[in-house]
Amino acid sequence: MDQQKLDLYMMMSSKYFEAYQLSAIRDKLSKLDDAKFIHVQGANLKDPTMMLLVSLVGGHFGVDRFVLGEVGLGIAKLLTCGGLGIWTVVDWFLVLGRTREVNFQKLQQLMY
Amino acid sequence: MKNRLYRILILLSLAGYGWLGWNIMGESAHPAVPTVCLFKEATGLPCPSCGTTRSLVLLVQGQVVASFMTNPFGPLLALLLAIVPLWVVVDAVRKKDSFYRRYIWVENLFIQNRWITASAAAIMVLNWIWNITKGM
Repeated sequence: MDQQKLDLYMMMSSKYFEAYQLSAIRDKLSKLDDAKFIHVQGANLKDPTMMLLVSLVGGHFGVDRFVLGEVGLGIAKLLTCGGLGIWTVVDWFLVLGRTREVNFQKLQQLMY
Repeated sequence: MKNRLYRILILLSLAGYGWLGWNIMGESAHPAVPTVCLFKEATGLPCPSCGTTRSLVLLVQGQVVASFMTNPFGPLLALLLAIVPLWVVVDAVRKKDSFYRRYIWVENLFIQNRWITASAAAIMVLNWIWNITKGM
């Protein structure tokens, strides 16, 4: 794995992950071959800040959960008026961390 | 993943039963029930699921048709409320994952089959329009 390419990638995508995951990701990527790295670069990661916006606007209808790929919970949120309004508000605070977690899981699937 | 989902669903079911019980007790036992729908509070328009509580209360009182006319999602939610917590608890006790596997299967159905997703969305929008014209 080309060091310069790796540095660039880490710089560009650090916002997608939790700070404590970064060193592990870097470690893993440095051992990855180029063919797999292309897949990693093409991964459809979600920007946490964008997701916060989605959650603030459409969270009541479960849009944030749908976008993160959690269809079942999205439907549950939609059918219960955003969990009686409470779940909507709770998700405003959880969505940043949840997005980073989902991004990390997606990356892990691509790396192995 | 599985445990997280089960925790969320159990919490949701408990909240649902609690909320339903509170509403069934009616206004004689406590002051008028506030609106919990953030969308309705913000815009004045009902959301697609507004009226579900009223629908469930009617269903408990045995008025099935009135319940369906108030919001068709009420009977659907009643079915889910009856099945899901029981299934989850049985699964947790027996240390199995039959519910989780079925849940993933349903999720994939929506993700992979566009017709199902489109029909569900259409039903949602139609119910929303109905809700607005009913003035829920």
